[in-house]
Amino acid sequence: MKKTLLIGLFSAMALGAYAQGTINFNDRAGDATFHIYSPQTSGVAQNGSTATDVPAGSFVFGSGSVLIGGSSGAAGLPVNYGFGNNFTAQLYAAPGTGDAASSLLPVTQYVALFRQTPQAVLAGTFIPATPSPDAGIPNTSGGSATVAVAAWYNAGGTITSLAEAEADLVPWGESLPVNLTALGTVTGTPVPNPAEDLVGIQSFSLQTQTIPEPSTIALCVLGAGAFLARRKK
Amino acid sequence: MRTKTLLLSGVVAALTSASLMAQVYSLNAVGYINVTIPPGFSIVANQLNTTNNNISPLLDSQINPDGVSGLNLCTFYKFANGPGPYTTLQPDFFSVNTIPWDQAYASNTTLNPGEAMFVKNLNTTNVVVTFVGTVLQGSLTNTALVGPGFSLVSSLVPQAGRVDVDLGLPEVDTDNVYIYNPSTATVPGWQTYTGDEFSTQGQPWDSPTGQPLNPTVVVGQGFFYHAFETGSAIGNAPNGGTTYTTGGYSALWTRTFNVN
Repeated sequence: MKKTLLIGLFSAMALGAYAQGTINFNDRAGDATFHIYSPQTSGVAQNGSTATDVPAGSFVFGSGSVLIGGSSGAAGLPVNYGFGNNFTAQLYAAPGTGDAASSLLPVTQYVALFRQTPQAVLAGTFIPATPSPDAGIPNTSGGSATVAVAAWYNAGGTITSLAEAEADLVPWGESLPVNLTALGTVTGTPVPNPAEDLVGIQSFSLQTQTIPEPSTIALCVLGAGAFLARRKK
Repeated sequence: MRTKTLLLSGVVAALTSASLMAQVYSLNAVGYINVTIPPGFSIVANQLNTTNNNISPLLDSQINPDGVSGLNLCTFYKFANGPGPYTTLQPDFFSVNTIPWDQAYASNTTLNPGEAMFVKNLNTTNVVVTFVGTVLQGSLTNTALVGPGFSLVSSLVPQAGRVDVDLGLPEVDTDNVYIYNPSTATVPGWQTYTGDEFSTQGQPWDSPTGQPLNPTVVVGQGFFYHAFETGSAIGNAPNGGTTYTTGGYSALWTRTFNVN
């Protein structure tokens, strides 16, 4: 009896998985092309659509930014931004529209490494993740989701999440969130929708982080305090 | 979809002789295809040409007279790119119209070779429909594939295989092909293929894991094509992997086909 119940439960879970909304995790679709860049010299992250994106824009990434991937090369530090295997991209999402970036969660099956093929057109893009069957974005059977794409230096595959990358102080970044309102479905009204492309996602650059240091003033205050305490003795 | 194809004859015909010196031959391939509609959703296509390719009368004679089974429990959806893109067509033997469909416009809604329709089969078993007509031959252009946007299309002729290599649809970089696997398939639902000349998967497509490397269909099966209008695009089969100018998508899918 227990076994039957468990089988029933797992079957229901599987059906539930099929009911979620799906996307085409590909940054080279004809209506959604964007690129991911290394940090600019200042280390501050940037977002914007460039002339080579679809839809095209006029944004130009700052000095020092280069397209990630597009070649083979060496792993390890210092970071080789041209080596596609050094970087991971993943979809972050939440059901419904207008969710804050901080509330988006990683979607397990939409994760990819960057390209290594040396064609210029491929630099800054990742190898599409094409799961089949595709469990979709959890809890999005209503057909809409807020999504963003995140990317980070993976240290030879040892850093497996954006949170880990932030904690390890390696280059990381994410796109601005966008709303997708026609996610793919298996069943539907009146008919199923095909998987939706990442329409609206703009190019972005990673940011670098430095170990936070106390400011000069804080150091002076600390030093003066120590000096006074010593004199008092 | 299991399909049985019988191309009846090569043959014959109008041996009209305007004079004793000149004889004109017309060589037609006439036949039928059986298309299986499984329970749930599927995409079906009529790939034989007749004098009237409207959904009514195409399927009229196959609508069960009991009114409660077979095609009576199937709903057809014709797609047109744009807002509210689906037109519903419901077979109904007891329809109040003069045709066995709840919508009078069924008699002027086409299902030409090259087009396709979604079908939702509410029966618990397969429904098999038969299309009868002539196999199109010669230089063929699929005018159902237009861009930019989505088109619900099929091969112009009853032929199974890879849509690019076998059926002559050029692979265009960054365009999408969506194959819908019915609920009876091992992996039901949409299979998304994105044209990618630089794919790491061995064919110029970003292909779903565990599925054929090229989008593949059976006889009588349609699929969605998502076109992105560009002045030129990188194309593969049958154009040899060179950059070519699409000049719009109205003539993207052209091929030459002969039965003999």
